[in-house]
Amino acid sequence: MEKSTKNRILGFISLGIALWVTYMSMGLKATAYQGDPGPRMFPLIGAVIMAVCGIVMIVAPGQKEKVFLTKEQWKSCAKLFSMYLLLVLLLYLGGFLAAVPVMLFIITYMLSGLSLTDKTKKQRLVTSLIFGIVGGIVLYLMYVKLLDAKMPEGILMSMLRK
Amino acid sequence: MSVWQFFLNALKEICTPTGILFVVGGTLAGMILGAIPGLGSSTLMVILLPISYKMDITMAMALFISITIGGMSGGCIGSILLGIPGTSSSMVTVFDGYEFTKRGMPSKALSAAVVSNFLGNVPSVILAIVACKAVAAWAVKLGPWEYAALCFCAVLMVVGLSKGNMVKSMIGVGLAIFLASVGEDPINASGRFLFFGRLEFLDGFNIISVMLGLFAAKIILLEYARQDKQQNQLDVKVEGFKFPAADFIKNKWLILRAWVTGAVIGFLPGLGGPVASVMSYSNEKMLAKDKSTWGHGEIGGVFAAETANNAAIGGALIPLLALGIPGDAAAVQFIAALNVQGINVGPMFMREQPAIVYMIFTGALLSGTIVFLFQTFGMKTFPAMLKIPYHFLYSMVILLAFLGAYMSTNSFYGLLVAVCCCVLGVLMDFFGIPSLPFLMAYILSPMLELNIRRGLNYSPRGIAEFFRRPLSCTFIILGIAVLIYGFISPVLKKKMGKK
Repeated sequence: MEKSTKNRILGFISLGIALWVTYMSMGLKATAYQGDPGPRMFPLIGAVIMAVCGIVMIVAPGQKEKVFLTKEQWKSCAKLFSMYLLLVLLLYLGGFLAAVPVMLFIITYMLSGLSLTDKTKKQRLVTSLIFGIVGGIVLYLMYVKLLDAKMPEGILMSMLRK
Repeated sequence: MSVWQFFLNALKEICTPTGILFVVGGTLAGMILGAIPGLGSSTLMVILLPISYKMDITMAMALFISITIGGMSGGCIGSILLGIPGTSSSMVTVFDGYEFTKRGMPSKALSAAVVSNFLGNVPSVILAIVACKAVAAWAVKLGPWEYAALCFCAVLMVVGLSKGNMVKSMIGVGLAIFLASVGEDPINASGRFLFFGRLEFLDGFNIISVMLGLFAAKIILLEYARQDKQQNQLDVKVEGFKFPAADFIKNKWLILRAWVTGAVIGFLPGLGGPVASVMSYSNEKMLAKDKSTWGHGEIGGVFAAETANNAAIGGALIPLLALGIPGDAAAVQFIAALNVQGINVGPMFMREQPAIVYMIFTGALLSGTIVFLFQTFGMKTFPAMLKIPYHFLYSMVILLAFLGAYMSTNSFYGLLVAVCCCVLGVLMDFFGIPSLPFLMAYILSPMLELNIRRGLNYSPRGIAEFFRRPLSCTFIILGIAVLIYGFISPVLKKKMGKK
């Protein structure tokens, strides 16, 4: 049976993190309380666990497992993840009012390619647009009016206001 | 105040427009999300966590328990009608439940599942009410040594009893311990691992942002990548509920055994509904006179799986409310919601916060009844639940998750933590690291560290004190024994199989 390279890589990553945590923990100052092992004890426990398990993974990686995602699936994954990053960026720049309806529209349109296969591109576009606007209003009412939450204003919006 | 007075107060609070909305709405929303394969009610709870900060904590708990019960009861709908489990707890319901749908008799399996849901969860909540009081009375006597040992035991039990590669589970635990160490030291309040000198790290990684990234954002990412949703075409007609009297009488002892199995497994940390249903199904199949019918449309299979997974809810409430130890992922979310409001869950929780505890019990009993009534009278609407357009639901969940992450810290720090945790979640899935041991260790780490260090401070004997105290020593030995069992049992099974 073929040994799992993936598990070996996990072992090396785990060992690497353990060594890094150990190095970082050594820089933490001890406490003056009698009997207290100090703030470094707990992260060191985590590091020891990861180091031991990492070594086990390197030495005995086990058998090769089934494919997690295909190349195409990884591409889809990256596509949606880029939307997550775009959402964060839009929230930072444009704030809640700009980011929410825009992103709701974009993500809904993107996902509708899976579940609205019987609809034309134009129909999907219109549905997503309506959902983006209505959803944006609902979220605004919920967060800003009902929950009285302080949502991001966006640096561009703040600059425009000034 | 007497127990009845707490129940009456909780009932009074629920009988307000907000209370009714929370309990009825939470139950139905949980049931719908529980029915839809992929999302699950836990996603709803995660996205509600940041909002719960603005709610009255007792009402938030009523909402959360309603979602949990609704979600568990809704899981069988996807299993029976689509052949795809709505939640992992209803995985084995597919084996026999879906066979009835193929034969054109989905109502028979659904009716059995509805009865099982009610018989599973309501009596188990009553058991929790009785048992919690006794366990909590005992728990207040625990010192930091026993409590640290209990947390240690709980984490090791999750690793030892969970399925999959245990070494990978332990890597998850180690990683969780490290990530939980970031921030303020619990004893002297000095900063630990303040990366790039940023003071934001003093607050550590907010559990809400961690869960939003690790669950909501990651789940949708992987669901979209795998693109399973387009295949779920449903064309089934469901008739109304018919009480399965003959099947019920025939399977009365099976139901009782499944209930006991579920309640006991629910009590053990980290197992919950999925393991309860699998174990109960396997037991009953083993005990059955005619095993050939199991997996080909045996109604006992539906009773066994659904009674056990619902009974696990009450079982999991006992360690959660009496000891502050989460039994499953849903219980972790309860603790996170309480922590958000500055309430620490531990052995003193029942004594200090009885209003919250009895609200959870009352909410659970009411929610169980609402589920039963809705599923009895609204069975014909089940197929409609599975036709909810995913693109609307998923895009809304993504927005709610990220806005919630922002709200949890009121800064972009929370958002970035959620994005990073989403990546971490995908990597963990890629490498096969189970998320439950990671999550359990992450939520229990602060309590574990605090109590270990208090134990070491309070006693001149240092670490030896943990082994001198009978209870503490028992928990440590039990935890290690379960871990060792988890390591050697697959080897033993392999050897026995060869012989």
